[in-house]
Amino acid sequence: MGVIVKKVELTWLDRSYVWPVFKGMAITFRHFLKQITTPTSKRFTIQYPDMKKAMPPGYRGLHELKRFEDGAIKCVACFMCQEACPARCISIEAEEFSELNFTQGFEEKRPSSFKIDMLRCIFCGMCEEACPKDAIWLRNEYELAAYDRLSLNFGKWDLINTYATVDGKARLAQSQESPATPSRPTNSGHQADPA
Amino acid sequence: MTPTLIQYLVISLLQIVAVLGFVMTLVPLLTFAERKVIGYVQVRLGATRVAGGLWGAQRGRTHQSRTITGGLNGFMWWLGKWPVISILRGLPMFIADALKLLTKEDIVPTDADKAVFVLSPALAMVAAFTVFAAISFSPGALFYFPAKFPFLGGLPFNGFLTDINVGLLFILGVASVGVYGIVLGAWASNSKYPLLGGLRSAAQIVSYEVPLTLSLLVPVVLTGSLNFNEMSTRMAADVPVNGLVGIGRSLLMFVGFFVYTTCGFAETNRTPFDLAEAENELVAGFHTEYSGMKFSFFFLSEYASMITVSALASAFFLGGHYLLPFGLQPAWNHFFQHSPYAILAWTCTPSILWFLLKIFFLLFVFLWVRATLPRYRYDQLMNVGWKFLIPYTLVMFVIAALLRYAA
Repeated sequence: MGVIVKKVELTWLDRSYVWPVFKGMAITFRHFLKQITTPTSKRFTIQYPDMKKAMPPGYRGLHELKRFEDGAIKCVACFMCQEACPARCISIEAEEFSELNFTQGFEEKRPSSFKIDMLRCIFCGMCEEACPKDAIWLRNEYELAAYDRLSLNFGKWDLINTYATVDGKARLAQSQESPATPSRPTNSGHQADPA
Repeated sequence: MTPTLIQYLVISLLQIVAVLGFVMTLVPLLTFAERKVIGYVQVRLGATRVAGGLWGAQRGRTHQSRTITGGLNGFMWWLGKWPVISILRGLPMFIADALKLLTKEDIVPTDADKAVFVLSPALAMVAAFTVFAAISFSPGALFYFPAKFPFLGGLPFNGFLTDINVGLLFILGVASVGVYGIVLGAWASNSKYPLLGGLRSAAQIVSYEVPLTLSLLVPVVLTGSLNFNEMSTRMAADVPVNGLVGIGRSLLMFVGFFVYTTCGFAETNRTPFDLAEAENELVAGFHTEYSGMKFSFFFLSEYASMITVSALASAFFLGGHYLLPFGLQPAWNHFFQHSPYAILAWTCTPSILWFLLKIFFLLFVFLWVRATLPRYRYDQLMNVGWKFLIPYTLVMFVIAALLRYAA
């Protein structure tokens, strides 16, 4: 079964090639005028080091390890993210600790080291999905460049402290009324008053 | 008063410096304009800042004013906030480009024919710049030296170097020497791509020289002059506009202008006819093996010949030193010559301003076309040249002769 391709019949004006050339020139001149009368801030080009693109809400950039309001790390070193990671860039070492107190959290396990090799990471967000405690988020930072490989091996404190602003994601901000993970464990015997 | 020989020589020297200075400033400005205009047409920005740290290292944000380039970049960043003048951002780039070309390493290939290899860029350059000897930028004197000026008091400073009566022939003759520079340079490189590019360029220039000259013959026949100044004067004043003949003359020159511009693009090896340096086939064409100052000689000669082509077009088709193109000036003069408004009466007089404006507009057209049209295939180029342009220009020439006879 063949398809009948309609042959475009050019008019004599188009066959002269002069008129189409003028039409094309008019189009490019319109572009020129439009570009020259637009101020830089409204042009399409974002002049990178001086202007930065605002990343969309769901953007998956550099990870952050979240903490409770009191500063205790949310991560419980369950290794779910390490198992879920398709690039195998997360390496966690867990430690046990028994001083269940206000600043150290109320779980009996925490990471002693939490490393993400940013050179391996593919920013797929699987770790974020796997995390049962909502302790790892992929946020909007994307300027991950360094002069050597070692400095792109982010450790626990890098991941906790890189982001100055508190939050990043809209969908999580909305679900704060009924959080999947309570900000403070209720079944703990140590009910301390934060104030 | 007539100048003595020494006075004449001094004034000539000053005029040469002025014309060469004009051209040598315009060429780097043109390379900058090319980047900006093509950038804007393609909805990009073009060059917006100068790189690196001149007088001091520069890091971080590029518009910190700790260095000279940083200060310039800061100013240009501020300039970018304004719509139209923001096209001037990156203007210092033309100095940076020139410095870069001057300080580049000059490589001569081992198997190249050294003498010819060195000679040919100079040949192209000399041919492109000698042409300006016969181009008249302003009619008559640009200004007179004030009477108290030492040694030169009261003498005119002309807007042209020589006012020869066969100016057009001189320009066409000298300009076509430039192709020797290209062909010899291509051959002396002793490399296959330059050779192919040079041969293409030679064939192209030789075949387009015919319609180019024929199309220039239209205004020449209509006015009966080969001289720059006389051409525009006769176009504006002497040739009568009587009904049908005048309309026919304007129409003919209108068509002739487009034919001439097409041939001019081919003569200067510009897009859409830049087959001599078709990157995708020939690396960079005839100047593949050239580097440093020798390459920039070819570069300069190409841009200088663009200015020549624009000057010729504006003198012979666009009315030269007068305001209106295509021989429409007599009608304008008829209405406004004795106008009470000084500015309207002034538009009837010849001025260097109109000429330069026309040149700048045509140079813009060169860049505009480059940003718009893709390159022709080689056989298409030859077809257009031989099968269409030459017959058209011949017909136009005959019509021009008939109009001249009728007038």
